[in-house]
Amino acid sequence: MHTFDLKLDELTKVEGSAQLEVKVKDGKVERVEFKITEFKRFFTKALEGKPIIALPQLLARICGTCSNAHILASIEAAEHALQVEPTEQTKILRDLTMDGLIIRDHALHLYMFVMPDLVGKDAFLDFDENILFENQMLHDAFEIKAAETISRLWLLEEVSTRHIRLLEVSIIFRMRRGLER
Amino acid sequence: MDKKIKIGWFSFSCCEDNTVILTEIMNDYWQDWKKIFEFRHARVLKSENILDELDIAFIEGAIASEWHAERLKEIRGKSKKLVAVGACAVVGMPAGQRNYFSAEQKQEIEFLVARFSALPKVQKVRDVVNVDAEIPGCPIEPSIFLTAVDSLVRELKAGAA
Repeated sequence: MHTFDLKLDELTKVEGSAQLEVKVKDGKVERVEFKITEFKRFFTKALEGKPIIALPQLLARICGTCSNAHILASIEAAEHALQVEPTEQTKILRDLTMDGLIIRDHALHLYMFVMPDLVGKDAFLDFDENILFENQMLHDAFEIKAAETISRLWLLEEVSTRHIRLLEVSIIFRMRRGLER
Repeated sequence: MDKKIKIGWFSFSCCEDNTVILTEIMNDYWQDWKKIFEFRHARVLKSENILDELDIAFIEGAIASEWHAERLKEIRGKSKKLVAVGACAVVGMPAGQRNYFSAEQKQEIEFLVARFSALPKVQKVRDVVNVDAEIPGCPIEPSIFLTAVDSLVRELKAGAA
């Protein structure tokens, strides 16, 4: 039976900075410690005394990956505080913004962070364009990730959220099909 | 110059949105970059990272601890060009917003700064090491980043010729 301590000082292929410690005794995991190694930036304290209109832009900087989520959450909080009701159009635009974030974020996670481990390569950019599957994944990843930007263009053309949701479904379908190949 | 340009991408105290912009720029440039760049140290993209000799080190984020400062000096010592990327690296904000807190606010957070062994004052990259180029923005503007990268690549090629 395996007994060992595993310590990863710097987790890779994730957003943010973290460590992981795992203790295994006689084949059983006894302890897992996931440590966030970021330094505090004191956003909560920094909000004190700021004009309410300044909050969403500042809070967006909590996280680069999901800045849109932080913007929208803080706008919603400010609206609740001020008892402001946004228009239907605004609500739809916000839904589309979130859909765009989800498309980009999931594609980044699945392709660039997870896919190398499934294929047995260290990095996504190490994928071989001469191997059909890897070439397909390279092209799919960047095209799908760019769909977030396309979704912004669609906003201008008043395309409904349904189209973007269809795109999300197609991402999952193509991922599954790719892995089955 | 046939040899690929060795790139390092390092994140310190920040939201890492410049990293996201980097991966977004790749949507259009990944095929070009695969030919000319070797990502030798980029924690976000790979696990087998090597810090020996870099042509260009990109630094995002502010310097919040002694460990950050030591690490940054090590990177500087091993890089031909060092580029500060994004507002936190270039001006130290907003990651360093506690530098501008009132005396009362500073007192309230003091125990947390001490508990996590953070520097008394958050620093921008230029406070710690020499910087060859700075790309401002929160996050960076892709076109400005690409212009700066083009110019660095030209300089490195001219130096190698």
